Parts: sequence; C-alpha cells; structure tokens
Amino acid sequence: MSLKRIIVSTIIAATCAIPLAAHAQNLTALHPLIGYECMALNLSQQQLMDPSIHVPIVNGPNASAPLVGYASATVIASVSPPTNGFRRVLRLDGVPGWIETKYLKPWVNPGGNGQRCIPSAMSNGRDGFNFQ
Amino acid sequence: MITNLPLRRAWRTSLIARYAMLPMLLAPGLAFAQVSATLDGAPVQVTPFVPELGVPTIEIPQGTVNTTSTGSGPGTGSGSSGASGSDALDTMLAQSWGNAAIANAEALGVNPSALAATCVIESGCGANVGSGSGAQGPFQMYPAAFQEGLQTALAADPSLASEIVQGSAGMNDPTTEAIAASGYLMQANQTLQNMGVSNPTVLDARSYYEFGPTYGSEIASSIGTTPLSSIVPPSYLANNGISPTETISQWQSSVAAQIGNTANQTVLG
Repeated sequence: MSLKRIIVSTIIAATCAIPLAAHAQNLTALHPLIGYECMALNLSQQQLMDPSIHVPIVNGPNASAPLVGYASATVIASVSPPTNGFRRVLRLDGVPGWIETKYLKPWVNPGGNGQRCIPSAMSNGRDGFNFQ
Repeated sequence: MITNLPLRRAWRTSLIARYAMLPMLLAPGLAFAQVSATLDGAPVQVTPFVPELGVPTIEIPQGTVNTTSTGSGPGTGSGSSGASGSDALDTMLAQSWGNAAIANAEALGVNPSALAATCVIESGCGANVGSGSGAQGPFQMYPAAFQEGLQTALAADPSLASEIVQGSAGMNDPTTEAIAASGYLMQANQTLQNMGVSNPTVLDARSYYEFGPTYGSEIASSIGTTPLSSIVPPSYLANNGISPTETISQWQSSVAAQIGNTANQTVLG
C-alpha cells in the first residue's frame, strides 16, 4: 500500500471517528411533547447553582406524596390548570410527577436571544428541550 | 468548581492530532480479537472443473479448523487494576498516587476513568495546581465540596478511612482528595439520576460541575445546537470566560478534547 493511500485512509478513519468521540451526546429532538410547556424554577441564580438545593417532584398533588425526584432548571410542565396548588410535570426520563406551583414561573430565555423552549422527545430516548 | 479555560482552549488546538491517532488506538483492540488457528488436515482444495485426460483423480480429505485462543485475560497492560483504559486514565496513572486513586474509586463503584477525567480537566492531574481561588490539589476541590465528597465516600465504604489523611491536611494529600472526588462523583451521579438523567456520562457530570445540578441536567437533556445562553444566564458564562454563542455541542467537544475517549463513559462502573 502506498504512503499516499495510507495517509488518505488515516484521514478518512479519523474523520469518521470525530463525530463518535466529540459529538456522541449531540442530542436532537424527535417530536414535541403535546400538552406540555417549558417552565422555569422560581429560584435565584445562586440557588440554582447550589448542589444542596433541590426542588422536589412528588407523585401526587399534595405535599405528603412520596418523592419522585428533583427538578432541573427548566421543567416540562403540563399546560393543564394546577391541582391543589401543584402542577403536573415530567421528569427528564418521562416519569410523571407534581411540583408545587410556588416553585415555578413562566420560562423566559435567559440570554434574550429569541429562542423558544419546546419540551420534546429526544434522540437518546429521554425527554428534554428543543430550543428554536 | 474551577473552569481552567486557558487549558481547555489549548487542548482544542490538538483535537485533530488526537483524533488522527484513533485508528492506531483502535488497532490493539482489533489485535486482541484475532484468534490463532491450526489445521489437522489439508486446507480446502479447489476441485478442477475439467479433469485432465490421463491423470487419475485424487481426493484429499478436507481438514477441520482447530481454534486456540492466544490468551484468556483482558490483556497484559501495566495498570494495577482491571479498569477500562482511557486517555485520562493514563494521565492519572502516571502520578505517584494514581494507582491508589484507581483502587479506591473501584472500591466505591466509581469508574476510574471518570475520576481521572476530573483531575485532567481541573489541573492536568497536578500539573497546573495553584489557581489561588481557594480550590486545592489535583482535583481543585473547595473545602465544602471536599468534606461533602469525603463523607459520601466514607459512608459508602468505611474501610477507606484507613487510606485518608485526617483533617484539613487531607486536602493536600492527593490520595485523600481522590477519595473525596470519587464521593463527589457519586453525589453528581445520584442527583442527575434523581432528575431523570439515567446512567450519567462523564460529560453529564462535567455539566453538573461547571453549571450546577439544575442547569447541568438541562444541558444534558437539550439539543446540541442550543447556545448555552438559552439555558445559563449570560453573566455566569461571562464570569467563566464562555462565549454566549457557544453551543452545547461546542462545549462538549471542548471537554472531550481534554479527556478523549472518556467523555462518553458512564460515571459509575
């Protein structure tokens, strides 16, 4: 095999490998989650950065319901009206739950760049966010 | 939490060079997949379509292949454990405390490569210690994070107490700090899972470290073309030297350029 062919083969192999290594988590959105909207946690920036502060997701619309998990900074929230002061939400793996409405506020793009947030089913099989 | 941006940018320039080495890195894996073989008879014969006149027909029995494996183990690497190989792991193994860090991470169920990726990003595993910001050691942990991580690790495996340097002096002992960093990775993994990020990767954990748990989990769940400023307040990005137009994919690539094939490995394992 000539040196030129070896070099060309190496470049092709390296080009094919780059997307695998560098962009393996480059998620895409499959389709919007109908009936849901993006909402933001009603916390300060300092609270959002604090690993010890968690907003609970519970499995029923009352404070004594068992814990399902914690909320991310942006929440996949049902557009349905709250029940007993709780909004129905989805955890990022699609598990349903409820969050007290006092922890939620309308989503606003923090960068003011005009993008909208659309809750979506993602290419990794989980739920997530499409920004357009 | 320290974002060593000059280091990160410098590594970007060597991205192409690192990927150009991938075929060579993959070659040993292919070699291990090969199995030697011997024949107990003659190889497969070609039967002539038109026999030559006057030549008697001779039939040669076809041999069967006996395969023999060239080895039963994972290889003959120089590492002290069965940890999966990675670029970052090699860097940590080169440190005097590297072997102990790997053994302790494995005792906690933490992927040693994930631990190695942390020290590579934070300080080059000790090469760039001394930020002056209060963070210390190869893992650049702040006192609060150090204590939390250490408590988590010791709760999971109390026998590690014999490995640590007690008190604040432990922050200056790389073996102790590696245990604390392993505990902190366990916390990150658990929190991300509680948010619905199943089987968090090293990249997911980096999002957790750099942007906090709530923003980190959102970054791990958003399309790659999203500018970080659509998720994280621009003031925070500016304070950490990140352009508001930098996308999630670009940020992930810059991390992957520092830690190579470790980026998409899981935190635990």
